[in-house]
Amino acid sequence: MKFPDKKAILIILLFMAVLLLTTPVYAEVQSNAEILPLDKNTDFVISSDELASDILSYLTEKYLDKNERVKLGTDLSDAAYIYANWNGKPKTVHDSKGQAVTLYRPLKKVAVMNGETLETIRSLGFDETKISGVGKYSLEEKVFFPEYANKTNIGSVWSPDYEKIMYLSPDAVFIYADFMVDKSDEIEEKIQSMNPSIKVFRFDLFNPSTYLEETKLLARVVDKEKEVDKLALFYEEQINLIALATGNISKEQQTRVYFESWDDYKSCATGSGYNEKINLAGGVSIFEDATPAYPLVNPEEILIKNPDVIIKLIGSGKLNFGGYEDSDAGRASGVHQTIIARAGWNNLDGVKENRVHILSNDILGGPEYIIGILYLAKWLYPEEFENVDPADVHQRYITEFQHIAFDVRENGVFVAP
Amino acid sequence: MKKIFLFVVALSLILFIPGAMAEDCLQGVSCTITPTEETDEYKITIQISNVTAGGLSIEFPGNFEIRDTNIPIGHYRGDDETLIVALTGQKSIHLDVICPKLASGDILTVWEDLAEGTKGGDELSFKESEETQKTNVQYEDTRPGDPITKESPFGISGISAILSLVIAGYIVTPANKKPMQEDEWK
Repeated sequence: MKFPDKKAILIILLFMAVLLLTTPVYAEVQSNAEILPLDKNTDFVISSDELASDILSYLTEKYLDKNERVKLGTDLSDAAYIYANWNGKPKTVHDSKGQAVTLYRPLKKVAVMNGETLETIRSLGFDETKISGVGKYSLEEKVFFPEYANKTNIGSVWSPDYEKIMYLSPDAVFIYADFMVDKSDEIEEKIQSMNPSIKVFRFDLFNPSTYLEETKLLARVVDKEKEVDKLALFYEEQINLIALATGNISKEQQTRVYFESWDDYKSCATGSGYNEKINLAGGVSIFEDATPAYPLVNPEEILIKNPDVIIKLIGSGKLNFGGYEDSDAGRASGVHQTIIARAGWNNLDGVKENRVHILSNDILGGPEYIIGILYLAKWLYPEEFENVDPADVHQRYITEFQHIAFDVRENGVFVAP
Repeated sequence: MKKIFLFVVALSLILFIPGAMAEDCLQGVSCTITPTEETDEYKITIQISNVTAGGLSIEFPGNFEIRDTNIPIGHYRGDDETLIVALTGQKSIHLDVICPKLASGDILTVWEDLAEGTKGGDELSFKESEETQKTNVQYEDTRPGDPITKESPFGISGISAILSLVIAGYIVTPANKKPMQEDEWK
């Protein structure tokens, strides 16, 4: 039997020694990051005695030593918050990807990359001053997100600015869950490899079938559990209103819709978010059975299928206007004129009966899908929704949940005609 | 009978809803001072509303000595004239104190909610306490170190009470115009 030479043994021993010495140090750093403030006996509970001791130190300096300049330390304010709101224990929360994250401190500084989360977090009443960075596209929405105009730009899912995120060093970063999933996975991995103490939460918040569930999870993350019920009730009211009016309509009697995105002849089929929204409004897409989910359709087929209602979406691509950031209705009207002037379309029932509508993606694509669906329902079933004004519901959402001074009847372009 | 029943329901709403709302919203401490049979000895009772993690300072008009209290050991301390208390969820605390100057002077209480960043305070003499169990001023949106500003506790509960009265009036008035028939209940 041949023994390894002395040099090799020495290298192995040295390697093992380094391994043994560094592992406890690393573990110490990790566990230190996951200890509750003022949890002196590290039992993962801030007891009243542990808290009282530091409260008394603070009060002594302020009221006995009469030091008016004394500042409340971060540990004490965090511990007081955890004691009052989390029963003195760490709080485990989940995101839309099912990832469990245990919080040992309240989130006081966050960065939000996607606008849907930023909008929903505002609906929940999360303190704007706790948001230090926002996504590139949210910054461009100066009318809708005015309070974030001076926040740091952390880029987008397509071009995240890691340097800015590291500079901000937030407690948490919010990114997409399943939208651009590969890119979002990459962003999560990179942030955590650069700074493992930054929590990464994944939420989409634009899909009607999961929106309220996601919102409830988000509310737990940002400690807004009490506020989420009011928001959920608002959404449920609208969905119930539509379901009540359209629930008994048979498949054969459903209004048939040709839906087109901002790209000409790009429609929607089963599996797409827009198809789901048409269904929620009680309608059916004439290209429901096409593939893929967003099929590029043959113009001839539209003439053959002869839809009852035609919906054209604006707000992105070549039709990047309308919505909150644009109050000039001229371009949306122009799109309407172009649509009805398409070759052969004067024979379509939808055109003959003036049932061609332009809809802004601002009220269909994101958390405001509920407003867009209400407009769709009214256009699809005008008699059933005769007494419903979607603009009223839209204004209520803006006033009660978004808290911005914006009159939906006076500003923006959301529908035409 | 049904009219009376309806009125009773409305009255219950008037009485209960504002109370429940006030319970949810009001924050702060209220104090009562009662002299005991012993010379210069007073019983001070402090009710604490919605301050789960915070502190309280009680400044006496002169030297004081605690004879008895339900505050846990280690949750309070003081010097000659000021007592500080850590608030960690107590709803009510009481103190039996000897304080000769309390007969003619005020005590100053200041509370802070360290979890919410709110604070408030009050001045009270035992004579005022006897006259009315004066309470609770609410200070919202002030941060430790901010000047103390008073705000009426009337707020939401008062408005709710008025609204409830209006609703009650609305319910009762049509009934007066047109007596309700038996089958209208079916």
